[in-house]
Amino acid sequence: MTTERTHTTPTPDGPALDPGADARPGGRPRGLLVVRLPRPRRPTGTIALAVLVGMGAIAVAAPLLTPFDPLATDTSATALPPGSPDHLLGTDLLGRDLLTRLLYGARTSLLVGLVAAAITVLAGTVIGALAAVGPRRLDEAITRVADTLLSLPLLVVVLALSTVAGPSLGSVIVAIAVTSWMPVALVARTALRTQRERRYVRAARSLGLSPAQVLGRHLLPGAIPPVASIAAFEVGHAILTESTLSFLGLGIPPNRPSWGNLLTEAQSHLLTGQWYTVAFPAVAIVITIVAVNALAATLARPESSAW
Amino acid sequence: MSGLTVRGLTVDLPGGPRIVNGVDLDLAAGEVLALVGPSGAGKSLTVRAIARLLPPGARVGGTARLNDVDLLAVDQAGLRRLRGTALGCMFQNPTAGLNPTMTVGGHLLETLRAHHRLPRVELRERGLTALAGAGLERPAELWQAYPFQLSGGQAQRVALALATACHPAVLLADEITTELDAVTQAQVLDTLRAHAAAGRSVLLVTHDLAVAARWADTVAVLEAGRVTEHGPAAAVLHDPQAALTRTLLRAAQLSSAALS
Repeated sequence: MTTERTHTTPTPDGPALDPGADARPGGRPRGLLVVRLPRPRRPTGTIALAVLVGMGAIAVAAPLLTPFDPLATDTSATALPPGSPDHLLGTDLLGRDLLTRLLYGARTSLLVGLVAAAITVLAGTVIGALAAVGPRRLDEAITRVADTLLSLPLLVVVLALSTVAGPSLGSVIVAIAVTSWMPVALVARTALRTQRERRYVRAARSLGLSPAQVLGRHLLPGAIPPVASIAAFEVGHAILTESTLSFLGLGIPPNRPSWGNLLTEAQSHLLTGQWYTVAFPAVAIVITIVAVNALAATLARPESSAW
Repeated sequence: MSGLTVRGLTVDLPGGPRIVNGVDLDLAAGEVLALVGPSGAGKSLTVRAIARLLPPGARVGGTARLNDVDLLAVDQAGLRRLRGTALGCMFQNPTAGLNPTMTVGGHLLETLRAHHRLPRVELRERGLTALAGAGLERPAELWQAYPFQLSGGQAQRVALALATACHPAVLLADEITTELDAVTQAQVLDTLRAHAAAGRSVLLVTHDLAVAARWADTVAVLEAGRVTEHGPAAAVLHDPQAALTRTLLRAAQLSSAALS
């Protein structure tokens, strides 16, 4: 044991006590100021995103990828099996090319999924924000309405709305949005209420920022991760609901191919042994839903909402 | 600049007892008033009540007059205009008080934009001036920094720059140096003192009597929601009348000799 006192003269890189020297950003390389996006630890999210982007690209480029008209019938080529010359996935009983109908069906199904989910998420977030930052009575009213709608069997409500509005692309999107905003609103409300208690939100209010500034710059950014993850699930939910409605004859009109419509038409083909008419649209739906859910799960992981 | 006059301030939290029970405070222009007391005495709640930043459901009574305006009675729109321009606030844990997704410059531009319709270039100039006025060297370099890149002292100075960017007459500072080392604490409080010398009134909440002795003009001792002693810092700390003040001085081991 030593009793000797030691003393070290601080070097320029050592602990800084004067205010100028402790200006850390000035002393660090500028590169540290660049925001770096976190890399996913597992490639699931990347693969899911690649699958969805690929599907979207194929849907957009459908007219370039196939020479056939999805609605044109050909009585000389009916019920061809997969692998037939000119018809990779075969044809249906009216001689329509199944690959063409699958590609054009992707356009409708993905469009419905994205648009319905976008409207659902936007409406849900706005309603959730009103509940979170509005008067207490408004909050209670919104919460009660959401709880009531959540307690109803949604498929019945969607069926009723589609029946009243008639089968069309617009009515399907509206029906899905009207019956799907509640989980988004409740998640957004909870996330925003949690954010409201943060010290920087209190500091922002103390500086005289307007409610819109506080909401837009301080509350919403922190609420994005949970809302983003539920938004991804909403895309999958919308695609499934569209398929269900179309399968029941209440969704997209038959003159517009969608994956749900393909399944509806394929019902009768099953009895005559044309299994592939069901298999291909079903596989397309399953792949899309799995990819969407994998992406949603990636967004929902804790490290995605680190701040 | 004019000061702040608080009369009969009470705070009742929902479902709980009365935490602040008739606080009277007088804060003149250019004065630093230290509000001291043990934990739970109601210091922070007093400040939050004056700034109308209490949690939902809390009930506030009394008056807090600033420029002949009662802060506790003014409507929300009027309150928003006064916040930042007439009344500035600083809090404990400055890093948590800055939005982690925004740069220092973003914070300042947003605050200045909330009160002034000016070109961005001019807002930036005012922001840089506020940073310099808070004792930060090389403000232009800090402009692009995010809160995680700041030291505790720098973050508290940025908070000071934000609170004073729109030149408020009164600054409420709630335990602002609690989490800082002694040297940085002294630097921040010296800067605060300089603001007071320029005419700004400062209500400094602290549990540290040494801080009150060195940087405050007047001291108010708060006990169980009431002011038990209020007067010039030298008089209160050298010749304490209230039992609590004596207890606090004994606990802090501050003798008259040490104080002088």
